[in-house]
Amino acid sequence: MISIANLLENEKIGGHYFAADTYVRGDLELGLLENRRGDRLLAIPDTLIEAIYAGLEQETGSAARLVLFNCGKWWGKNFYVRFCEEIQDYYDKAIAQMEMVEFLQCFRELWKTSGWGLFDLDTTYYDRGFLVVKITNSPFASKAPENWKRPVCFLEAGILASFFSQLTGRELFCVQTTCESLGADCNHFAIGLGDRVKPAEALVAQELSHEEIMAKLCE
Amino acid sequence: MHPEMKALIEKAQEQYLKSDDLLRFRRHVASLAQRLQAYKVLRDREEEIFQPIADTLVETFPNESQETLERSLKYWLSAMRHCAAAMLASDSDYLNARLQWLTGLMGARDTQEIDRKIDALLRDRVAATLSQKQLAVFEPYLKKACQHLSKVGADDRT
Repeated sequence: MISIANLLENEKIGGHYFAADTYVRGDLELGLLENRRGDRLLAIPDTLIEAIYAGLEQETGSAARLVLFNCGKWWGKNFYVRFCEEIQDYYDKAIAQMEMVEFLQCFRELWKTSGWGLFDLDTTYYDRGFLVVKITNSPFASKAPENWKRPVCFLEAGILASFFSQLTGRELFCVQTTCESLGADCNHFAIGLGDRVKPAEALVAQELSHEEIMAKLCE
Repeated sequence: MHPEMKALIEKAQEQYLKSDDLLRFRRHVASLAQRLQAYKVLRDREEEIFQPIADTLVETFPNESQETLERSLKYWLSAMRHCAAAMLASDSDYLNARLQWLTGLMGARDTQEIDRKIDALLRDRVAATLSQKQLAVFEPYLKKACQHLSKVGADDRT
């Protein structure tokens, strides 16, 4: 016997918290963007993304990649905290209490609503210690400098490394293996423990495919 | 707000609305009254609509766990609320975004048979609960949700 009355009383039937039409709010008079909880949001125009790449390259040369990665890590740390708070406030449960599908759907929608493209998690290599993230329509890839000639989404790689580190309680690293800026149909990111995933950087430099890189990492 | 009503109000900033426009406006106001009534019925009789569905599910799927059935019912309760809100606002885009959300949640489960059963039962229950006029304003949204969610499978997850 299932009692609908009990079902309605005991469990909150949450809606789509991260829907773009309700999540992002603006105050034209003050020139502010906020999410539905009142947290400030930052709008980043394409020109600024291009300028960040160009400015960092000019100021720091090849260290621009590391700077972007570290900025991403810092960003990801705060992103994780805010994500957890929002989940807790709205769905009335901690991330750890969520089913994987619920967590992923929330994360996917937040990523999309934030304007960072479409996120998907590939668990093919999960049992060998790697998570693979696939992102399409990334604004960070579309505005990448053409002369870098390598995967460029260091900011996202930093965000993902930091976010999943906090989620799993382990210090994880992230390497991008394919990039839309190089003609790939999506951006692949391999996430895992530092000593296991860092060799991927050299394999990326050798221009191996994502599958080849993952196969070598799993050896 | 209904897109056509919004367009009329925008037009009224520049000129008094013509008789034709006012007629359209009046039609929307009348339809809004119907939608409000339908919404109230759906809200007040939510449990009454879903309890027989829950009972039938338990009989039809005796080997399924209660948790699985409850989870499916929760998704459909949520879908009904989204349909009702979309009807109130006459906003199909609102519903589309929420259906996509539910599709993502339901796609990972292998419960198509249960969902198809709920789909059929729910349509009957709603038809028996709403008046003809109320059903006329609600049905397009319900139909859309049913078509969408009853076909969600593990392979077509979006």
